[in-house]
Amino acid sequence: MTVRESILRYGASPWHRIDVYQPPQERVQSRVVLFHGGFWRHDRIARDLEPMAVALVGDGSAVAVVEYRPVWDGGWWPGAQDDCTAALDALAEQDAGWDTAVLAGHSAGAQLALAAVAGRSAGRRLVLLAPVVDLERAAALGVGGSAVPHLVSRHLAAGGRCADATPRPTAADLSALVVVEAAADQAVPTELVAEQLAQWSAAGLAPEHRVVPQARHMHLVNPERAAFTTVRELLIATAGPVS
Amino acid sequence: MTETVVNPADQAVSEQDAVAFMDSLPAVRWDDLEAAAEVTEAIARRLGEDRPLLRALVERIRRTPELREKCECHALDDKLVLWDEPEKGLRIRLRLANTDQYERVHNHRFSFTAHILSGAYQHTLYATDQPLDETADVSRFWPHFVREEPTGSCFTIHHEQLHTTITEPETISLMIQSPAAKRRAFIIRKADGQVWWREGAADETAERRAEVRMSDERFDHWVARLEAIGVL
Repeated sequence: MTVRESILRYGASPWHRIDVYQPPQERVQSRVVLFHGGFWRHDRIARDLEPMAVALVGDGSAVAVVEYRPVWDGGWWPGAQDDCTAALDALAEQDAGWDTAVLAGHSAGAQLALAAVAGRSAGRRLVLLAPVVDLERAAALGVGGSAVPHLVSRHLAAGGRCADATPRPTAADLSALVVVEAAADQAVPTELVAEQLAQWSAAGLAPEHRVVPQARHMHLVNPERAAFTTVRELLIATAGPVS
Repeated sequence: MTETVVNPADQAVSEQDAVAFMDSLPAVRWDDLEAAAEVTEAIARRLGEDRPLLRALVERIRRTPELREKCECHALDDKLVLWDEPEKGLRIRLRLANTDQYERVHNHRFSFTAHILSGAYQHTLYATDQPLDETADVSRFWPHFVREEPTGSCFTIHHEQLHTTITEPETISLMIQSPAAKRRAFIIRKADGQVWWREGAADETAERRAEVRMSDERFDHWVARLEAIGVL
């Protein structure tokens, strides 16, 4: 399999980088943009999603993995969120085909993916894997330890509220919303996923919900794990043909 | 887009803010050295660029007995331990080179990232084809990588890598090291082939611990030197 690799830089920080993996031009059937998790502090980084990206290239997808600033290096809210919005703009500027790519966010990366499209009325298609999006509830449940308090610390110090950091997309922002839950997720409790689904349903987003039996948190983005088969199928189905 | 904020030199950082910052650092997965290098080099550069934060962390050592006890003096270098969080794979310290330097090929009990804040290393990596024990033949350590690591340089090496670092006097580096991967590390002096081992604190005698513990006078000396050199 041939994988064409490139790096697209979208800002001054070394973290402002998008790792792009593509099959030969004639084989590009769909496009996927990935946002890694790691609780905004980079317990995980973009290169950790390289095996997933390469697996998707094997299916004919062009894949962009967005790196962004961690909390401790300028990514405190809304820094990382602004980065991800800028990354999407940079991709579209390079090739308009990325404008219709499916966006997939894992864990905290789901919050960033949703934030990057909220309010843009662009009808994007999103797949959220073990999502941590409602930051007030995530903090109350202790998800990621002190990750949420660190993310919003400067915003709170400036008089803001934690709830401000929770993206609230409308039906105009999304044309598809698929939520994948790992049944044995040790990092994201099912209670949080259920509450977020209820919120999105109430907002008229009609989320499609899939639960992958026996899967743990990282299994959803690991091509060596059985759970990835479900994720792969959903991404292909949601992505549709390349425009 | 939001700008990265680096504290201006004249703005003090409180101990509370310094601890909050350090608490926000990620867990480092040292079993993936490439990933560990990417993250730890970014952390090292972030800390190295922020003198008020470094100053707050150094001053905090005085009030933090578990860190103060880990500050040590050795023949070639001294160390100030700034942060120790083994569950996240983060021990962060300043390596402070003394004036006496000699070449000793060695590996480490831990993998680490070094960021040169002041001075320079003459850095040489070695290969060998023999067991690392008291029978080691010093003539069978072959240099295969030699370069100067100037101020600003940052590198990560695996705990099994044999190397030497000859430093200019008062070379200061910020080190981020993994939890110990083995109980003792190998050292052989190039001049005469003498072999010895460096052990972790847990395996050292009380006499040895007392011998290497940094005195208050030495600690004050280094703080003054770090300020004079411009690291703090």
